[in-house]
Amino acid sequence: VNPTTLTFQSHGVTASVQVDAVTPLDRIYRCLTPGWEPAPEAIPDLMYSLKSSDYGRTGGRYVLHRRHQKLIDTAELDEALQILESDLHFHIAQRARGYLFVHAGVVVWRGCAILLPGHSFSGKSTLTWALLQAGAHYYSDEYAVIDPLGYVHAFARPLALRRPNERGVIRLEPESVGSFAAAKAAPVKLIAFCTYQSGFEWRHWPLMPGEAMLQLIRYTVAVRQEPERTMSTLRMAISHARSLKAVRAEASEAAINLLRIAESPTC
Amino acid sequence: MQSNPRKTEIDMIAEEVHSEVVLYDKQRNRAHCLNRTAAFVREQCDGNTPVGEIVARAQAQLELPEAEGVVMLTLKGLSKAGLIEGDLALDANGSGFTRREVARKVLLVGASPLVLPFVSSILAPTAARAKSKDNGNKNKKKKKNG
Repeated sequence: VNPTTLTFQSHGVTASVQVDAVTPLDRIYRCLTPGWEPAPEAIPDLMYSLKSSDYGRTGGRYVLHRRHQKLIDTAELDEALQILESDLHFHIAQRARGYLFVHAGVVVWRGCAILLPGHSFSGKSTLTWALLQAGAHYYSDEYAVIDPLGYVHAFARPLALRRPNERGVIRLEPESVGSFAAAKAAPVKLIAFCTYQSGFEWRHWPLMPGEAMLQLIRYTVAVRQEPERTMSTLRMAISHARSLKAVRAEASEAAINLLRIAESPTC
Repeated sequence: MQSNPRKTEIDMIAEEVHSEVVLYDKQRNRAHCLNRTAAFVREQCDGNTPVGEIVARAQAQLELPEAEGVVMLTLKGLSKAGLIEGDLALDANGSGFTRREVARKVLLVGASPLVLPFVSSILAPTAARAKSKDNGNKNKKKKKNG
């Protein structure tokens, strides 16, 4: 079976994924970073290969490598693709040129971005989804991609919501709630560091800009590799933003509160 | 003999954010946020200026009430964060000035509590840890020093 190699560029990084004919290419395309573009054959910064043994017959395995490092050996194609997507996005975030990647959900409300910084499993996708249901436009549930002027760019993969007590995620398209993935870069208006606590009522406290910048550093992928760029980019991003810390329970209630705050004249 | 405080500057990136300063220590991979008072006091720490002179400058330029107490608290916070060095002979309470006591005096004269020093520090995460819940700040020293 002849392998196929997809070579593409994303955020200044060139990557390739080599797959054999068993793996449907459309499944691979869905793992690539939003906004990828085909790239000419060249030595890529990142090289992946996904190969199957027994060509998909029962008992076959899927083996994913990044260069020579084996990332997973599994009987489940879905699992291999999930690892591919996660690893690929992470390494592009780390190596991106001209953009700073901060772990955050991002929506846009009336032309301005609301950032929801948070780690994996912190509920940022759930809150992002609730904001879309409340009428905001979708930018990302994974990374805030910030340019040197402090504007946020869309990184709009389908939202990945985890199912309680189950492995894997369900993918949701923003269009299903009447939202859409916006394309235009947006200035940051509100940065909300929300913590989920079951049974709590919504409470929030303002954060001074310097403290907000310090907190954003905690979620910035390349801060150690590129501290100068991190510092200047984050300063630009927060320069006209209001920041807060909040405790939330229900995402729908938090979404309404966040949009109300984003609309207030002081924001 | 007590030496004058001196700010540590090796491989430090500074960004002014409104009235605050955010510092990044490239050697230790630590980030710090200093409010106006803490940033001002740190700027005076050149190794040549005695603490008494720093107090006088803070009183004059920041119009600080209780300047001595505020400056001593600030020096204690900066020292704990590794942002100044020098044998300052600060005891556990910042040479006898507690934050509570200084805050009480500041409020009694009708000044804003924002004049009290604020020094907050975190350990910058590695790329992998920026993503995960335990991002290396489990044991972070995050203090409102002073």
